[in-house]
Amino acid sequence: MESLEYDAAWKRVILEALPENLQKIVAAIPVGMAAGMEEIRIREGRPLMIYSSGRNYYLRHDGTTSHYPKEAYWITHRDTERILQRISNYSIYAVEEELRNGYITLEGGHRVGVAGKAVLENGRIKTLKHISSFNIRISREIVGSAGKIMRYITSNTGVYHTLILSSPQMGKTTLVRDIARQLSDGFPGFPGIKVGIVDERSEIAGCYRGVPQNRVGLQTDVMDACPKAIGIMMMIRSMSPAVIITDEVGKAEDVDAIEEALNAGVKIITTAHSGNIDDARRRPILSRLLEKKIFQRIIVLGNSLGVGTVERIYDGYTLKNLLDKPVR
Amino acid sequence: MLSIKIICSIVIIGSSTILGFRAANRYVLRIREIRMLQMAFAQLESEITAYSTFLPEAVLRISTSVQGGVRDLFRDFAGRLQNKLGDSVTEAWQESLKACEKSLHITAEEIRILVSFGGVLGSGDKGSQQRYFKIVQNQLKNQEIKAENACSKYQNMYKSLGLLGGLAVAILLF
Repeated sequence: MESLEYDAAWKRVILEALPENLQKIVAAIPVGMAAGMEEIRIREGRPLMIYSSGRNYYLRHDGTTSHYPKEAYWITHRDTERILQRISNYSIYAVEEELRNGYITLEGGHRVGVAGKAVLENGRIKTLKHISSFNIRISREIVGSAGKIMRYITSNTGVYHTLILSSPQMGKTTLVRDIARQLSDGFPGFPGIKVGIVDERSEIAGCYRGVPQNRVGLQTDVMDACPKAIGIMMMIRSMSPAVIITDEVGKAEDVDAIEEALNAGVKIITTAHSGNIDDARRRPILSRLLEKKIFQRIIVLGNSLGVGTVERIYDGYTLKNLLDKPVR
Repeated sequence: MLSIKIICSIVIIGSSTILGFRAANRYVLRIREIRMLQMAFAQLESEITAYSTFLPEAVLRISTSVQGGVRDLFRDFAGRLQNKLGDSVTEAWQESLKACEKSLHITAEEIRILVSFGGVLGSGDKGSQQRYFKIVQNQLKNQEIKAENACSKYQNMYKSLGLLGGLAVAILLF
């Protein structure tokens, strides 16, 4: 029942973002296909596509899927213009900053990635114009997805510094979001603690007008759309979190901020793009973090049992795998 | 017979005077509405450039601080935007203008200015929005001057025309 309500909620938000002709097509997508839908791809002058249950499909005028681009609905300039107006709530001036970052977050935490022509000023992106590609990503929070790993990243005394490694679209953000919720709300044998999320790309909490749209926990504060390094420092100074959770470390200043958090006695849980530990060692910033043995737990995600499988959990000091077999 | 004639004459003179006053009043209302639009756009500009308020909310907020036909226009427009009727700001604005034209006293010239302003409202960054607001304010200022001139020219004329016209008809019929 809950999933039905949730389905209705995402459908309303996504449909509102589309012009009427596309609304009709997307609303008519068969239920089974819609249930597994992760992305709607809209590219001007090219066929309308969806990505559902790990596969790409073209969409016909009546909402049914096809494998042939010729049968699909082709996106017009009028369509892309209207989508931009609708996703910005008719107020492009109010989403300038988001456009500069390449995405707009909708109510419910769903994100619309955009691509177009960048307008530069003094070498920095001023804004995007002629936006011709949209990637509407349906955010599906999977409450309980971190259930099986919580005992590995917590101890009687608290939480371990944890790094989650995975390739794109393997469920990193979904996992880190549920970790935030479980740490914040507590679970049997673990009382809830204060959690601070620095959500640079608005992906973890999916804030809409500053309010988290995803369940991130009762004791969780979110610094939305804030650069990680600055956000971590702000959180430590003002919100006294026991754990700070962020997504995708990658810059040198992120490492400095993480070290600062360690000095302040705050635990860090973060993620990085990397298939495995060896891969991570080859990347300059990540290798710096690994060499310093900052993280006490390193979780590697994969898809051996489907998207979001926890393949290995390493002890950060001994690099011993703590899992007998992958769990999902 | 004479008394009926007198009563009829009074009715004729009375109604033509009212017609004259109403025609004259249109000029006054036109000026008032142009000034109200200027004020509304100034407020909208600050909502957009200073507070980045989303357009539907900003328009709704402004609709509470204006009156008459201009209030109807902004309310209708806010409603269309909030319910996501119409696929673009331009369309929603045009539809609202069409729907509220009857309760407004501004002329076709001002409507044209408003229609073209709707084509750019909400569609660019803050800097460009500011420029467009400046343009529309200048245009409305010009219209205000024109409306004032027309008012001083025609207001008294219509008033007297109503009364005198009524008198003339009454005398002819007598």
